[in-house]
Amino acid sequence: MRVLTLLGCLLLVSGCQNLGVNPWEREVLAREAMIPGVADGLDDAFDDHIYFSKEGSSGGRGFGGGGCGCN
Amino acid sequence: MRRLLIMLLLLPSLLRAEGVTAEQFSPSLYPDAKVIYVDFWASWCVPCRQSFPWLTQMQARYGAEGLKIVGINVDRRREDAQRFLAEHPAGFDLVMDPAGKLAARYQLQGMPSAVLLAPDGTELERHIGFRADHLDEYEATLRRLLAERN
Repeated sequence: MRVLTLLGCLLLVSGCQNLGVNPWEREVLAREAMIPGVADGLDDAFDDHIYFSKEGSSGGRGFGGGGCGCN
Repeated sequence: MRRLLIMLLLLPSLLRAEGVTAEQFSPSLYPDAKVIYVDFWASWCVPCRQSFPWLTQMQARYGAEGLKIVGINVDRRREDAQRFLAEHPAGFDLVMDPAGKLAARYQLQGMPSAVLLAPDGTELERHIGFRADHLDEYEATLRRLLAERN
């Protein structure tokens, strides 16, 4: 039982020894597509597709104004 | 034809890269140097692009006073490093460290990192990152260390 507890403790202690990625391993993270939101334009394309298929609307991006008719 | 030309231009830096492997690298390989500037770089690291012309310039300017610049590449794929070198030629020695062994040995906290060593392995100075507005500071450090050790 004691051995088991000790082993369990060892497991817990070693659990956090390897957190994340080292600075010299950030090759993939450094890609432009990894910037949230900016990505490669795919996010916008997917959103457009969802609007088109769910709501029958397309386009309208880049138009200022809130639909009050005052713009 | 163009590719051949690029290959020919690349040849010197490739040959130099073959010189020392990550396993062999040690500051004691450069006993004549006063200060060994170890620069960790990668093809995906944006500031590294700006650092190469400066490092080349420093090697040319202070080489006679005992400055030895060694660029350690941590790209996992060699082709990435070669593509980078075709665009940003290096006027200093290069070591390929695809497994990141040297990066781990020197406990890098960021990329790029510069570690300034004495030939006996003592760490003299280090800085993380490469910023164009700190160039004077970097050069002053080099000059100070070279003066101290000459």
